[in-house]
Amino acid sequence: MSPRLIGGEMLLWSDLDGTHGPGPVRGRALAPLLDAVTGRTLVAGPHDPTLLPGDTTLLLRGLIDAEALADRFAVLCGGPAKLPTESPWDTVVALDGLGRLGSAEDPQLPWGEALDQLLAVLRPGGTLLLGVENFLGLHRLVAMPPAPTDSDWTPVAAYDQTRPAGLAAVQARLQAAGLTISRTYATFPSPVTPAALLDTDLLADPTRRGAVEAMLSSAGTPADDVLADPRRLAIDAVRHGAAADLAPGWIFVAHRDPAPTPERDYPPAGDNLPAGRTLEDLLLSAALERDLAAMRTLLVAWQSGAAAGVPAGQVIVTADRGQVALAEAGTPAAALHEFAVTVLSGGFAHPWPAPAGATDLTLILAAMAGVELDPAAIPAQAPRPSMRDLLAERDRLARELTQAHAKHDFYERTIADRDLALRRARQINALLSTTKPARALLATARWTVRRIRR
Amino acid sequence: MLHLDDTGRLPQRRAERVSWTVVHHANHYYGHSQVLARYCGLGDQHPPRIAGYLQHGWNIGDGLAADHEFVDGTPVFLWSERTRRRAWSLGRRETYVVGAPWAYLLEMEPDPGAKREGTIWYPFHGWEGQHVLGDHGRLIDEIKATEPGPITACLYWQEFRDAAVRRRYTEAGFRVICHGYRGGQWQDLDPMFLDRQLAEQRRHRRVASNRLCSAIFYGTLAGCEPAVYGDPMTLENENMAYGGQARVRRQWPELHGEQVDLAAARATVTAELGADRLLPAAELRHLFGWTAAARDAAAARNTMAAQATVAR
Repeated sequence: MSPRLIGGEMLLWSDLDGTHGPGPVRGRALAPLLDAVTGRTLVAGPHDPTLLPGDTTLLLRGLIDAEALADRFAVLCGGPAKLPTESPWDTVVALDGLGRLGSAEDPQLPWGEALDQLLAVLRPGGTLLLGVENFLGLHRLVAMPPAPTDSDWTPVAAYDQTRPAGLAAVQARLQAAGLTISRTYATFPSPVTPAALLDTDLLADPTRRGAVEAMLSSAGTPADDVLADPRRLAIDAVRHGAAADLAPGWIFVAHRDPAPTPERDYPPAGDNLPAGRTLEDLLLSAALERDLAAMRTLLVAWQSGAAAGVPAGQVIVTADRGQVALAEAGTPAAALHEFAVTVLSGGFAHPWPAPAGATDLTLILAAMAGVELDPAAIPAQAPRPSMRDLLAERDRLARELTQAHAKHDFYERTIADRDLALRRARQINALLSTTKPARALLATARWTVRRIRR
Repeated sequence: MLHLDDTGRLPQRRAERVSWTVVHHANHYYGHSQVLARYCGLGDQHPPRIAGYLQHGWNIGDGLAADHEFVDGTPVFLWSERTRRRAWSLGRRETYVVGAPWAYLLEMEPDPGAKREGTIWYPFHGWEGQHVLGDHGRLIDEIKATEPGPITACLYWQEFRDAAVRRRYTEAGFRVICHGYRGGQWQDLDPMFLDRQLAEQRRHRRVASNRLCSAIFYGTLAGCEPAVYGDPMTLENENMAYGGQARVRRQWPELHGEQVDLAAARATVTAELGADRLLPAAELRHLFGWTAAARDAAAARNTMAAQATVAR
């Protein structure tokens, strides 16, 4: 099959190969959502094709992508301007959002118009799965200044007056367009490569806070250089009830009026998640409270239990002090090391005196749990540092250097004093050894020593 | 200078070499730099070097000629926002939309409103070193069947110089002209090329060709009704990277056909030539690095005016 060219197709262009922009929206976290779509489906914008059901129609602006996928899908190639001539779909999926639908061949498409164009091909009662990037998301707050890509020919997005800013504004805009929202998911750590999709209802549930923190901290280390580790910020955002507002992106499941269809089974509701705080949260609290006795109790319970190899951030401590592991176990040394790295790179005012590094702190933590670790068992790898880590490291090194200089000066002075003392002693020695009474005295002393030795 | 009528004499190349210093010699094609120098108040003097690369023809790629050397970091002055977007997507960053020199010429030379009749027809041509392969006879029949006449055939100098090709059009009853050399490598530059083209187009009611090309855009902006029809012919060594004629017909359908929707065609032409976003002369002077030259030109004019006053 050939792609159908509907106008505005970009000839030398691929959104999927990642050379002109961030690549398609992708990640296994999206699979449950895409598996749940039903009916005639249009997938608009760049999505990882391996996640898509085979009987969908794709809308792609790049001819290279369209031709590559035309054997597996029905493909419309071009901008969305000509879409309204197509017959409506039961489900329209735009998880990448609306920013990469328009073609360079067409006038810049405001967000609001792009939404209208998609809604024009959604049948009454149909379902829209829409991704929206949050320009105040954690991923942006920690990002280094980005280099514009080939996709950014009109990078107006944040100043597009038709684009609602903030979660509440997006929800209001969708409702104003005649949609009923059945679910809102927050995506972490990035709207293009989400590793975790969290229902905003779940984010607001204080009893599941530990499980939510665990999901966010396992949502992947940032691939690029960052100002600060977004996972710590995400956990803080959960604690402050701001995780939905500061999420890197949102995915809305919305149904076009009239009368929303019975709620589809769009996962995950998170009902089966354990209640409680993470062990990491409890350990950090104890460390900051300087309650080292509680710290030892927690460490002993952790390292003597079945979850000894599970990172502390992935262990939920339940109300009855039970431990529920949310991740696969590695080695206990690796789990302790991971917590040590969190303590040192998280900027916590921890109680341990100047540990030489994560390895040293790992040994201390193990000792507190009553275990003598072999240093060789501790992983050597360190996480990619953020700018914040680098600045903290710079300050620490500057401090260490000042201390080393001070020690050096002290040693210099000490050596100079000892040299002086030694010289004086030798002078006295020489003086004494050259006079007659001194030689007699020395001979007597040697004779006395020999007698005593016998 | 080329002969602009069908006297049958071969055009003679100008021998002298004009030593203008430019970033790229293509900036002087068709007298483009000259038109912009006039707009910028530099008078008819030789235009100074443009601090960048000026798009010299309607283009479905990044605005630059594929076979021209381009150094990254050089500003690229493009005709339209659409071309700018496309150029960005193709990796060009230092782009700026200034509009086509043709649009500036029309700003400077308002239409006197003389009587228009017939059609100026531009058979598709190759450029220096390329030749068009196709059946001129069939094309002529199609033109005669479509155009009410009188018909002026405007040939590129390569075809115009070919007596056999020229004869086919004259024998068909067409008036045959050539606008001149576009120039190249600072040779055969023709500062009045566009003025001559404008004067010719304003004599005609319609502008037509067998391929959508700069001349169609120019003619439409100059007030002619456009038409694109007939065998688009084949170009020797044609670069198909940007999709060729199939794409042009698909993406600019409003300019194709024997009769087109004039309002839609004019809107497209205005956008493609950037005629709706021409720059003030001061901005253009600044971008091109012409501010000092313009000051010098103004000073020279003032001096001459003062001398003339004294002489009187």
